[in-house]
Amino acid sequence: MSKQCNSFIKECNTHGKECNTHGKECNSHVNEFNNQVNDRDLFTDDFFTNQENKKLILSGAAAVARGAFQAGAGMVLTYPGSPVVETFELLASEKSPLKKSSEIVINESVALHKALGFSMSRGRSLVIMKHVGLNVSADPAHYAGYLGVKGGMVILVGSDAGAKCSTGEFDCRFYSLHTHLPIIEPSDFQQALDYTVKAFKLSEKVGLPIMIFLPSSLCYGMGTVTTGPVKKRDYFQSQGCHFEKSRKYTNVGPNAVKSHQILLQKIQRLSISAPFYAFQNIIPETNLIITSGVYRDFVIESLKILNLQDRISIYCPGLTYPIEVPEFMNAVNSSGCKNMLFVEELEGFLEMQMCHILMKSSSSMKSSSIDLKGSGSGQMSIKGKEYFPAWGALGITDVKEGIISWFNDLLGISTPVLTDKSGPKLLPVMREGTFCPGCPHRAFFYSLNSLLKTGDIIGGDIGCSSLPPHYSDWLTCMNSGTSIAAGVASAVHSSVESKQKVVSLIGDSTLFHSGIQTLIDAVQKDSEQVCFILDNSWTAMTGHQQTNSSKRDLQGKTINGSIDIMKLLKAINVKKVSSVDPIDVLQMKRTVLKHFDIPGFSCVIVEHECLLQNRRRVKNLTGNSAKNSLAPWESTYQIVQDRCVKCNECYSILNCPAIYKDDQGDIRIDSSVCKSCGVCHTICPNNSIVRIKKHD
Amino acid sequence: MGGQGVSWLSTIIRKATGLKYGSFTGSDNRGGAQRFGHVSSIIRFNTENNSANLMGIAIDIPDGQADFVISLEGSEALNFNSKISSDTRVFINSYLLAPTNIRREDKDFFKLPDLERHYRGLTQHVMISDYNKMAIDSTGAVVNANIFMLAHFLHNCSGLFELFDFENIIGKKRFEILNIAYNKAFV
Repeated sequence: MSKQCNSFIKECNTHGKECNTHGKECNSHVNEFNNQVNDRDLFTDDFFTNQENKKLILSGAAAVARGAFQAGAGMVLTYPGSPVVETFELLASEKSPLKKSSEIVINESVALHKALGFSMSRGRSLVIMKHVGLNVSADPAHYAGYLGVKGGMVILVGSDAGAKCSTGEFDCRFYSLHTHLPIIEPSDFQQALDYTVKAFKLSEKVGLPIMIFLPSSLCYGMGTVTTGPVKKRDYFQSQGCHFEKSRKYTNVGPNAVKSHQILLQKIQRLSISAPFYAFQNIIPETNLIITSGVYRDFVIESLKILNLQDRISIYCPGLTYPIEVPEFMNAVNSSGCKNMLFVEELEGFLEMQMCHILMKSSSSMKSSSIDLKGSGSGQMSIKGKEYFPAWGALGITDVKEGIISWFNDLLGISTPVLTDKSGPKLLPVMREGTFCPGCPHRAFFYSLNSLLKTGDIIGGDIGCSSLPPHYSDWLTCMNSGTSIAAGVASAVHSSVESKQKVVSLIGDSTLFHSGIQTLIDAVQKDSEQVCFILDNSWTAMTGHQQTNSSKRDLQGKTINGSIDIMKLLKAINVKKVSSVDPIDVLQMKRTVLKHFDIPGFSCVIVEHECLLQNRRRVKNLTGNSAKNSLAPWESTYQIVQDRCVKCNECYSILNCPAIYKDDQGDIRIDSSVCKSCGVCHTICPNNSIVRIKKHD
Repeated sequence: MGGQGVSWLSTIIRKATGLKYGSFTGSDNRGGAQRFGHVSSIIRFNTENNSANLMGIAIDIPDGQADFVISLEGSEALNFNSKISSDTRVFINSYLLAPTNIRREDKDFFKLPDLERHYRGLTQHVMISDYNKMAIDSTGAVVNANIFMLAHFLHNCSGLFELFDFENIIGKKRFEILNIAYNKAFV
């Protein structure tokens, strides 16, 4: 290491990871400094520690939360959505200094609007949503660039290529092509923290909200991070939060055009500055791989495995919209590359942008022209989606195989198709989503399905009710159940002979998110459908956040301002409405049949608290004492084998995970899984399921 | 699977890894938590200390490079078929739970002898035990099965971790269970 590097050691001690901006040498010195101290002593469990250079074990989502804390974020807003729920939960937790200013908002559009208002007034705000939430907040997102911000505003978007916890895998980065909101993509857990801090500063520098794009693999991964300095909590008070009036906020006619022009100028300036240090390993006279986010390490490791690390350059920008043109062109020219490969998931966001830049800049490149179709002498070949599918997430194996195929094609070698000659293997069985044992939704669907005929139509909704995918005839976004059902009902009932019933589902959280408008429209048009509102009192799917109608918290206290759904429906003129507990299977069936006979639009509130939350509250209030014979976890159900005729009603139709078949084919109940809801006992036609104490 | 304590187990192994080796990386699949769906964790770390910088180590495991696979349900390790090599040590809980989609269609699910044969075709080092039964027999609670799997792993992890690496991580009661499992169940 040179003397010059030694001179940076002091800065590294002070600034820590910021010295990444000075180059590789300082990365090494940062490590040497950190390793002089006993690693074990550096670890802390205190997420909100004010100490620098402490180590925390965090997921990617949590690392962003830590970054927001360090940056002095003043307001945190979200509508819950996997994979970024944890970011909010940490910042809203009991120990968080941001607890009081962290809010679950009714939907992502309101959340983004609210954050915008806060940051227009010089406060630092963080909005958290999953990728489909950006669809909901697209309207305000388009104006965010026009309005601009004075306090830093960061929008954390959790993507989900592979749709592991979503109903779609849209590459929401493409929104930035028209919202012009800059995007930062961390490649590891430390960057998730550091880039969040930087994002707030960048946001204030350019006067625009900044998006941090975090894939589910990084959100849910875990790694070690090193803490940095924490901005004082009274940051926004000391800066003087206030709203300055400005004509530019009124976007009508020429003002809107002017706002658009200013926005594009900001993006242009950003694209020629270099606020983010990209990872690059440029080797002269080599080919170039361009990637971003988590795929940086996939590429690095794949090249090592293939022993190509000295033959292929890598460029991985941290800012993926707008592309930093001088830095990118420098990477292209320094590598002297004739062949370029884009390693990215989905539709190729980087490939599209960078191809555009290359085509515009071709006169400044070493290669005389760009050949987008193939490579030839003096021409550059650019590939990407030819080797990586535009759907699904990429594993490291996919990346490695794509690189192999590309490299072989460059060399004119055909890539062998590997055949597995080792004989038949067992392959994993997909585990379809299902309800927890004791979930009231299972009882509801049991009753509903027993009364629907083939051809009857169920419109599904996002939430726990969507878990067994075959229960609904469609499942897309929030509120798709009732909305699409209105159109389907109009179509199928246009024929007087049609006897198809149309039912729709909506969860209590979705009702408030975006369902009320649909219900107002449906009741006014008297849409021919029965809408079941599945009210389990919590946004259960994403970790049991309170809804606007949650009645009691886990300590048993009444929640102020809780909205009564029945009163709400009456207020919007839904006159044909019932309320029923689905665990009472007989009453549930009667209610369903009654509403099937009601013409026009009607609602049924299917009301039973999520069992998991109910149990947690009971344990909080009564303690988990074995002496508490009233505690529901002290009982279970058992199948009396002599009476069981193996009709499969409980095993296949009710489909409770606690009920299984043993090696002899007898149906039994696993008492460690059973939550003692009693529905199986109710539905058993032979009375062969009985309740017993767990200790019996 | 969701509900078996996969996330808890991976969290404590990660903590032990961080304290012992300085740094680690990895990813989780949490889509099925609480609802008997597929849940898995990948943990990667460099055993050379001073490994604060793991740049270049992907959060996913390349094919054939898993050193250990711990499967709390007997068939779940099938999801990592390609990651297992002949040197991988595989710990399998003999507990099998057919997913509801299999039950709904009343299809057959895997049988343990078939699974064992399959895993032994991939690697020499397969350890299959009824950890649920061990947990119930020793502690009365099946939820402790993951602690028994951890104990077995500690006996067969080639010295990567020791029992006391977990002492200050998992709480006094659970460490007592781990101690019992380590010193009695797998001796």
